[in-house]
Amino acid sequence: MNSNPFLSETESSGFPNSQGQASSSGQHEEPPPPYESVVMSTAGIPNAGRSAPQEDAHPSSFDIQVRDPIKHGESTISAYVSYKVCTKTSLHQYRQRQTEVLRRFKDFAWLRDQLQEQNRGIVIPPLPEKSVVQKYQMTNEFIAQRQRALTIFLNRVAAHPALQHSQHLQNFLEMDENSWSIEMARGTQEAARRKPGAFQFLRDFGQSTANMINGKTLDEEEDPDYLKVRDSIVQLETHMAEIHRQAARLVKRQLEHGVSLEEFAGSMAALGKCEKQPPLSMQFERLAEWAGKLAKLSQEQADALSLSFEEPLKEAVRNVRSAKSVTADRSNALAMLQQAKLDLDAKRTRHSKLRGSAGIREDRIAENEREVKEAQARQEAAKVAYETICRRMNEELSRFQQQRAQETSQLLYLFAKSQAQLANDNARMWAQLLPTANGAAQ
Amino acid sequence: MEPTKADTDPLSSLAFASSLEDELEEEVPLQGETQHARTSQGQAASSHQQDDYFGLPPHRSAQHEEPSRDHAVASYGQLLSGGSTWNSGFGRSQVEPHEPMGSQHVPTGAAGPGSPAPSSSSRAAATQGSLHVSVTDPVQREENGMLPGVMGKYMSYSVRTKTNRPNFRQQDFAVRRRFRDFVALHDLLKSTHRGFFIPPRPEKNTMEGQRAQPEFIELRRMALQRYLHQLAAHPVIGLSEVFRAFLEADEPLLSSLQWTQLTPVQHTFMEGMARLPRQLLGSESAIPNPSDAARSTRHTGDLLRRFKELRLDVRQEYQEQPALTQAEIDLRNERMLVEELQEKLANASRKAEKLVSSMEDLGNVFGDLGLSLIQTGLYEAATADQVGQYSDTGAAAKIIAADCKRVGQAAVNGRRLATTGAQAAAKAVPNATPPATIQTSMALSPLHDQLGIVPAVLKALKEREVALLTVHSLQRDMVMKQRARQSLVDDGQKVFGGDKGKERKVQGLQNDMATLEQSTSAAEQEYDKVMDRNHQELVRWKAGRAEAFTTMLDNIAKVEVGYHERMHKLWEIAASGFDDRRKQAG
Repeated sequence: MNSNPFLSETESSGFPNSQGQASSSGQHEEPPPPYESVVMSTAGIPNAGRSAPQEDAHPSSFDIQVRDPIKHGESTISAYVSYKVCTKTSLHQYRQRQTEVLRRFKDFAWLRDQLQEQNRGIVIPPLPEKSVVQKYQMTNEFIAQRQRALTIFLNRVAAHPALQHSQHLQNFLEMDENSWSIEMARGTQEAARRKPGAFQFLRDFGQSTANMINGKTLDEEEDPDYLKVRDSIVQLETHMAEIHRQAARLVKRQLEHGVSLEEFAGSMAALGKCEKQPPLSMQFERLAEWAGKLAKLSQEQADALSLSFEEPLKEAVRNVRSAKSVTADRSNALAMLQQAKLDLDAKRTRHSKLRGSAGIREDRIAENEREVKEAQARQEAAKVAYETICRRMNEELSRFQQQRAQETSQLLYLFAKSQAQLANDNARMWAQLLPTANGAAQ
Repeated sequence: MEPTKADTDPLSSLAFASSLEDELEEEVPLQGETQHARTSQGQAASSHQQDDYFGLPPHRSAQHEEPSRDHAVASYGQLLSGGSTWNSGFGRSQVEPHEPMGSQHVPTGAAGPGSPAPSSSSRAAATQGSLHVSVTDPVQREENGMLPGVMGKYMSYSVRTKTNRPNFRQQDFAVRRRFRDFVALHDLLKSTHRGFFIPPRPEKNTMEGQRAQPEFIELRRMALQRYLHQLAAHPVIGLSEVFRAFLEADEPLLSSLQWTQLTPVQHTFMEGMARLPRQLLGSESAIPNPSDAARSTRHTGDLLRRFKELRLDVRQEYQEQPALTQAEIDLRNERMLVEELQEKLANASRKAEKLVSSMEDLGNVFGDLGLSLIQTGLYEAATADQVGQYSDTGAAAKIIAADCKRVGQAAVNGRRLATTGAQAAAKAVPNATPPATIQTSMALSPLHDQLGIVPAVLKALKEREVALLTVHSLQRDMVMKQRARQSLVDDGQKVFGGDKGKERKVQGLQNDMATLEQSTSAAEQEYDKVMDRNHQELVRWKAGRAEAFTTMLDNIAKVEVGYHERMHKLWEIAASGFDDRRKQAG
């Protein structure tokens, strides 16, 4: 992370500060790994520490890289960026050890939707935000950032015990572009067919509607411990977002500090030219020179922070948001179950009424019976859906938390390390300007 | 001018970089009786005036010159290094200097602009004894204002002097002075010490509401004290009779005998207006007398002379320049260099402030980040205690809580090293190291200090040019008179037997020329004197500047090394907290 080229240069150029060198070489023994490896190393070993034993049988068998973003299209509206997705895998279901396909953001989003649809209760790794404004600007920085986030997304999915065997993932990684677009169209149609109207309605309005109508009763049927976890996740998002906001400010300030150091260096150099007496003008020159290097250091630190602190924090926020959406799914499923129950009860009441009253035609009763049966089936389905989610979540929450703890810990550790390193570099560089060092240099 | 003028000036003291003063401000605010008293005594005082240009009053005997400025210089040095920045931008550093930077005592006698240069060392040797001045105890007083029945308010400060110089009446005494008195001191110094780099006076400033605020009063008190320290440290001004009178004279200063004796006749602009018609009609001499000629035109109230010199000044812009001596040309080049330096200093001063403020911003962000981490840590810890059967969740939350708190605490501590923040830390522990931003701004204060002196330098250099202009104007007058006389004489030769009227005119012209001759020579002497002072002061300033900047460069490195070493330690400890837990886990 802290691969400041000029730092190694200062070390090798043999400055008289041997003490600084010694301590710095101590610092360099353990170069902090890059951001991807931070997140992915933990993603790669999803259950490091205490974890459910059956999942240990599935260590990550993937190495996925998203690279070579290419801009397509001229006009701003229709322009898009394609990425090359390169996969190495040892899973037997894959036809080849190594595959290479072209995908665009839309495809990633579709994949995620499919995974979510089929794995309710699982925290699906998050995608980077769709930013309308930034999309149209399509700066290289934005694309690079997105590319990194997409790499992390795929590796997280591929490392997830419940998701890594997904057929959709395999299709995404394997299929050539044409087959993939056909697959996408087919999947979309299927999904549309699968969703009956009432469920569609509930999905769309989701938790909010259900909660508004009978929020209390919903929670009453839930495990109180789960409710605490759920609430903690919901609030966690705010906390993580705040940390991320401060981290982003830090990056900005660090950058600005670099700029003001640079300007200061310039003003010192100019002043040195005015003060023509030899020792003083040389001292000004030295200060200007080192302040310029410090400015560079500060700007590099800003870049490093952005890559290894701010972006992962953003990823962490998205991750918490994904978890939050799972809790929303569970609430939804519960709401649907309750809705189905109410529906079934209503149908049954009506059915018994119809039976009890005279002069009702048989076909109407038959029709009514059919409706009751359908309602019963729907209720059954809703129950299964809800229970599946609950069952999955019990494991998933623990996996999620452990992963989060490990990632957060690693992130903060590297942050502290990099701050220590930066302070040390700063101290060493300023030490070059101390009178003693000055004398030795002259 | 109303009596409270000095205290009611617009808010501008904080912008000391633009301390070029308005010409009009130089009129001492005088009114009513005071002025009459002064004008009647002024004539007598003007002879003192002349001598005091040397900074050595005539009645001062050799034994009086023993006191040295060592003490004053030392205190100035402390001030420099202690960094009581009296000016803008460093608002947060307005604390009494408390030796923040360790071994930072500037060696006596070489501390910036106020310190003696080699050229004045002989004078320094002749004067022994210490002089320490402090400004304390600001008290609000009332006086009759412009309107009957309305009381004007002003601040009165105690100016305390401790000295063992024999020419002072006492060794430890205090007088009360108000801001207006400081203005009078400065104006008097300007007219009696032409050509010296007179340290810049604190700006008059502020709006009515602000003046009563304790922060402002404290700022002004410190600025006034610093000003007096700078004057005391000046090798000539510090020993001058004017300065001594300011410290010693009875209250109120402006009407005390000791003070008014030193004050030259202050012709006002209105008096000049009254003189002008008489001068033009010839009923009053338009020829400056020698004592006036040795003074800056601004202070003589001789409007005709002002016009003449202005005209000559303008004409010289596009007509042939009177031949300048090499020394004069050198000094004019020097002025251009000073102006260039001023530009670079102004830029450096701005950039230094920007640097300090970006350090502050960075520090504050660390504080905010730390707080958000600590809060999250507390939140996770609370979660960990609640989740019951979800024990994995709880265990993970505990780990995150500990890490967030540790790193958050480090960030908050880092911020304390960097900035005062809510200004709590520095005051609570008097011996604690001040935050890095304050130390940095203190270390960089010579930039602002030197920039603050430049206007005084330029003014002093300008004074020499003004003096030269007076010489040229008088020489030009002389040529005109000679021509007039010559033509009268030539005309007179044509008329046999002469013309009584013409002879009288020739006689009159010859009298004028005699006066002019004297005046010219007085003006020339004045010019030489001012030039001499310019030279002397430039050498002194250059040496002082080199010293101040060398100290600055050392200090800035020291401050930054210390700060970053502490930061390094702090973050290393934070990082090692992770190692401990990893070991425990492994």
